[in-house]
Amino acid sequence: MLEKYFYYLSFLTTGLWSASVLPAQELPDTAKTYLLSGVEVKASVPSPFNANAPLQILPSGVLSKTGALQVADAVKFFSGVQVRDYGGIGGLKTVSIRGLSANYSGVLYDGIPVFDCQTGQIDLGRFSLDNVLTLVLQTGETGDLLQPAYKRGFAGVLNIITQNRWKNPEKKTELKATFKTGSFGLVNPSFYVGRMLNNTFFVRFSSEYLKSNGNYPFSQIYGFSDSTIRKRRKNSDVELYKLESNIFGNFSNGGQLSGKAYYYRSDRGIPGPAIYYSDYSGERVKDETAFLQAAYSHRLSRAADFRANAKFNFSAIDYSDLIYKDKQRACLYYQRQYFLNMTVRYRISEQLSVSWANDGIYGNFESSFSGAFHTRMTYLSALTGKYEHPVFILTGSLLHNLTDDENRAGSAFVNRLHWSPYLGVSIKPVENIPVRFRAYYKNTYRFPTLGDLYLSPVPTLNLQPENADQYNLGLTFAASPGGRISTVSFSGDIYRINVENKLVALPRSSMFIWSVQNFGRTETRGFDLNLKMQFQFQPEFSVRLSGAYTCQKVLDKTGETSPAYNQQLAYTPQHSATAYLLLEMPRLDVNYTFIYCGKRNYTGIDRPEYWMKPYTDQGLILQKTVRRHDCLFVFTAECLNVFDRQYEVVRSYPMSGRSFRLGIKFVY
Amino acid sequence: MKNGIGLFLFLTVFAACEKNNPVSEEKPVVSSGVFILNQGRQGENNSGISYYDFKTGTVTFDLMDGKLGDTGQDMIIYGSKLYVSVHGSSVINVIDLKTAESVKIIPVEDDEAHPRGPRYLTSYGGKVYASTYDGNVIRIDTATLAIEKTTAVGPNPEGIAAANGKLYVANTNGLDFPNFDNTLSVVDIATFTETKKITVGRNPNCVAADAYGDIYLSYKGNYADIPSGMQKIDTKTDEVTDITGISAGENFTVVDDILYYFDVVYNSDGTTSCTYGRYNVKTEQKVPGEIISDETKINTAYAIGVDPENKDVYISDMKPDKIYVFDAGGIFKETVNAGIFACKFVFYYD
Repeated sequence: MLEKYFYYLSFLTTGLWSASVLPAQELPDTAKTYLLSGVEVKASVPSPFNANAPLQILPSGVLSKTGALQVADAVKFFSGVQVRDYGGIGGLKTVSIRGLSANYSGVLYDGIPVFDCQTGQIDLGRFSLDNVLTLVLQTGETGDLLQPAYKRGFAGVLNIITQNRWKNPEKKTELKATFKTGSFGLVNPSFYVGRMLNNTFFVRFSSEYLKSNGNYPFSQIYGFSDSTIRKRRKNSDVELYKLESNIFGNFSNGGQLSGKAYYYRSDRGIPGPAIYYSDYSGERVKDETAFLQAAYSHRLSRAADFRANAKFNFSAIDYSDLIYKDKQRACLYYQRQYFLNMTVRYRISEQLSVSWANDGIYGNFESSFSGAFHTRMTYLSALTGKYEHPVFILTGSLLHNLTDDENRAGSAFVNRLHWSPYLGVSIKPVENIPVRFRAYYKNTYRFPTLGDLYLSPVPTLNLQPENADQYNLGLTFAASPGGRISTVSFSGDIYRINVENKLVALPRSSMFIWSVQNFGRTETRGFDLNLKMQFQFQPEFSVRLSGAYTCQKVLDKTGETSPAYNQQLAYTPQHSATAYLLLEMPRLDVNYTFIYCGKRNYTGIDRPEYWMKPYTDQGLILQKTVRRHDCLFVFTAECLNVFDRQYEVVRSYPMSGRSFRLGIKFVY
Repeated sequence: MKNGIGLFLFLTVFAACEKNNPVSEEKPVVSSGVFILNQGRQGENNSGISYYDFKTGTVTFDLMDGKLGDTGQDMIIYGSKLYVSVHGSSVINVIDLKTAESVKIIPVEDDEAHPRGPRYLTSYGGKVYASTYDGNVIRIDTATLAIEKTTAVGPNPEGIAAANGKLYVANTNGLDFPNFDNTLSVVDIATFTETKKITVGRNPNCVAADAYGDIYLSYKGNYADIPSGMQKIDTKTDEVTDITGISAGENFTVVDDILYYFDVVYNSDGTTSCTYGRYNVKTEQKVPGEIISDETKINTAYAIGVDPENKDVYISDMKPDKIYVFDAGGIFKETVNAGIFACKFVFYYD
C-alpha cells in the first residue's frame, strides 16, 4: 500500500517540479532552427555503431526493398531475433529476442508502448510497413534518458517509427498513394496526405486497406515417411483496414507536441495447424484496436527538460469457433489501457545527467466467456544516470515495478514488487581508432499476464514473476575508408542470460483444462554478429550489403532427470543468419534477401523425432523509380521464397512457397 | 566486395551441411510388451505409440513413424488390432498388432464433414465403440472397419464402458465449462439407442466395468467448490452408490479385481501433489499398502497402467515426460522414456 502512495507522490513531484521550473526557463538558442526544420518527433536515434548497447536499425531506404509487407517480415533481418510466424498475412507473428519468450519483447509505436494485457505478447503481423519509416531494435540501454520507464522492463524493445520532421518547409502538402497486388488474391491500396498548417502545426493522415484469401498451397508430410500430399491452406482469408491521423506542434517556446489517433479493424479466418487426416478449420476472429496517444516535450532550462506521454487504448476481439455442426463457441474480449508517463532529465554537469521516469498503467480485461473482469494497475519508476567521458560512457538505471490486480469474480494476484537494475559501460580506448567496446548487465522480468492468471480454467494466483538476468559484452567498429567503400561497420556481441521461475502452461487430463505454473530455468549463451558495407562505384551505382549471424545455445536447466535437461529450448535454432544485398543502379534497383534458420526442435527435447529442418528463404525485389517534376513513381516487382522452399517456423503451420507481388507507389 | 562474397559462401556452406532428417528406428517384431499411447501436444501432429518389449527390454520410441496424427486419446486391443482414437485428427486409427502398420484410418465426421472428435473406446460383442465429443457414440464393425451407426448421448462425452448389454457414457458438457454435466447416458447395445440418463457426480470422466456387473465412475467436480469423487453403478438396477475415502479425480484402471487410482492436487503455490491407492472391487474394500512404497516422487501423474501378469504399475509423469515402473510391492523398478504426455498403457502377451 505504501508503495502506491509513493507512486502518486512521485508523479506529483515530477509534475510539480516541471511546473516550477517552467516560468524560469530561457528560450533555447536553437528555437529558430527548430522552427525551420519542423518537429523532431522522436528522440534522435544514435548510430548503431556508436551506441553503448546493441542497437539495430532498418532505415526507410532498406525497408521498402526487403519485400516485407508487415513489420514482422522486416524484423527477421535483425540479429538475435526469432519471429514465431504462424504463416500467412493474417497469422500470428510474435518476436523472441535472444531466446527469451515474446513477453520480453516490448513494442513502441512512435515512442509510446503498445499494450496487450491478456497475453503480454504483441502480434507484429498486425502492423503493416506502409508508412513505417524506420524500425529500431534495442537490447540494453542506449543512453537516451528521456524514455518511459515501461521500456526498461523488457529485454529488447522494438520501436516502430512512422513519423519524421517536415522535410521541406517550402512544400505545404505531401501526398502518397500505393497499390499492391499479388498471389493469393492480395489487394492492398493505401493513401497518405500531409499538410503544413502554419509555422506551428502540421498534420498527417494515412489509410490502408488489405484483402487476401491467403489460401496458399503446401505439402503435408506425414511423420518421417515419404508420404506427402499437396494441400491448400483453408480459412486463411484476411480483410483489414487502418486509419491513422497525426498532429504535430512545434511551439515558439521550444515545446514539441505530437498526437496520434489510430484505428485498425480486421476480419480473418484462423487456419490453425495443418492437422493430419483432417482439413477442418472453423475459427474466425474480428478484431478492432483504437488508440489515442500524445507526447509533449519541453526544454525547461539549459539543464533540464522533460517529456510526457499519454495513451488510451481500446481493443476488442470477437472470436468464434464452429467446433461441431451444432456447437459454436464464441467469445468477446475487451481490453482497455490508460498510460501516463512523465520523464524529467537534468544535466548536472557537462558529463553527468540523470533522469527520473514515472509511469502509471491501468489496464482492464473483460471476457464474455466467464463474465470475467480483471484490472491491473502497474506503477513503474526508473531512475537513470549517464556519465559521459571522452573515453567511456557509463549508464546505470534502477527500475521499480509494482503490480496490483483486482478480480471482480474472486481472489486476485497479490501485490508484486520487482526491482530491476541496469548497468552499462561503453569504452572507446583510442580516439582515432573507430573501435568501441561495450558491456552491460540488465535484469528483466515478466509478471504473469492477466491471461496467465485468470483465463486458465484452474487459476494459480500465487505465481512468481519470471526473472531474467542478461550479461552482454560487445565490440563495434565503423569506418569510412573512402574510395569505393563508402562505409563499413561491424558489431559483435556475446551474451549470457539466465532465466528463472519460467511461466509455462501445462494441460490437465481433460479437454480445455490447463494451468499455468512456475516451472523451470534456462541458461543462454550466444553471440550476434552484424556487418554492413556500402560501396559507391559510380555516382548512380551503389551497393549496400548487410549480414547478420546469430549463434545461441539456450539450454533447459530444469530438473536433472528431465529428458529435456540441458537441451536446446524449443524453436531456438543454434545458427541463424540473414542478409540483404541492395544494388542501386541508374535504370533499376535489384535487391536480394536471404534468411537462413538452422535445425531446431519444437518440443524442447532434442531428439531427431522432434527436429525441424533448416530452411532458407530468399527473395528478389526489383524496383524502378521514375521522377517527373515534383512527383515520384516507384514500380516494384517482388518474388518471395524464390526457390519455393517448403518450411515451417511453428510446427504444423506451413509457410507459403513461392509467391509474387507487384506494386506501384506515387509520391508528391 | 570480397568480404561480402565470403560471407555469402560461409552462409551457404552452413545451409548445406546442416541437413538433418530424423531417422526412424527399425520397427520391432511385437511379442510381449506394453504399448504406450503418447498424446502429444494439441496441434502438433506428434501423437505416437511407444512400445516397450518385455523380452528384449528395448523401447521403440514411435511405432507409427510420426504418422499417428494429432492428439491421441485412447487405445484398446481388440482381436489382432490396436484401435486408437485420435482426437485432433478426428480419426480412429486401426493398427495391426504384429506388423505395427496402420490397417485403416477411419475418419470420424458428421454428414457435413465436421470432425466429431473421438474420445474414449470400449469393445463389446464384436464391435468397438467410441464416444465422440460432439455428443455421440459411434459403433465400428471390426470386420469391415467402418462406422456402422451413430447414436446421440449427452454433451461432450468422455469415458465409455460396456456391461450387461449396455454402454455407460460419461457426459461432461466440458465445452460449456464451468457448467459441467452430471449424467451418465445408458445406451442399449441391442437397439443402439440411449434409454436413459442416470444422475451422477458433477463432471463424470472415467468409467470402467469390473467382472461383477458393476461400473466404476470417477467425477472431477468443477475444479472449484464441487470436489471430485468416486461412484459405483450396479448395471442390473442402474443404482448409484457413493464410494468414499477414494480420491480418483484424475484417473483409474481396473485390472482383475483391483482398481488402481490416483489424483493430482494443484496447490496454490503452483506445485502439484499426487496421491495413489488401490481398491478391491470384489470385496469392495480399500487395499492396504501403497502403490509407491519407496521415496520415488512423481511431479504430475498423467496416466496409470498395470501389467496383468506381474502386476507392475506404470505411472506416467508429464512434468517432465517420463514413465515410472513399480513392482507389485510398490518398489521403484525403472523409468521408461516415451513421447509427450503418455496417456494410456495397453499390455499385450502373445
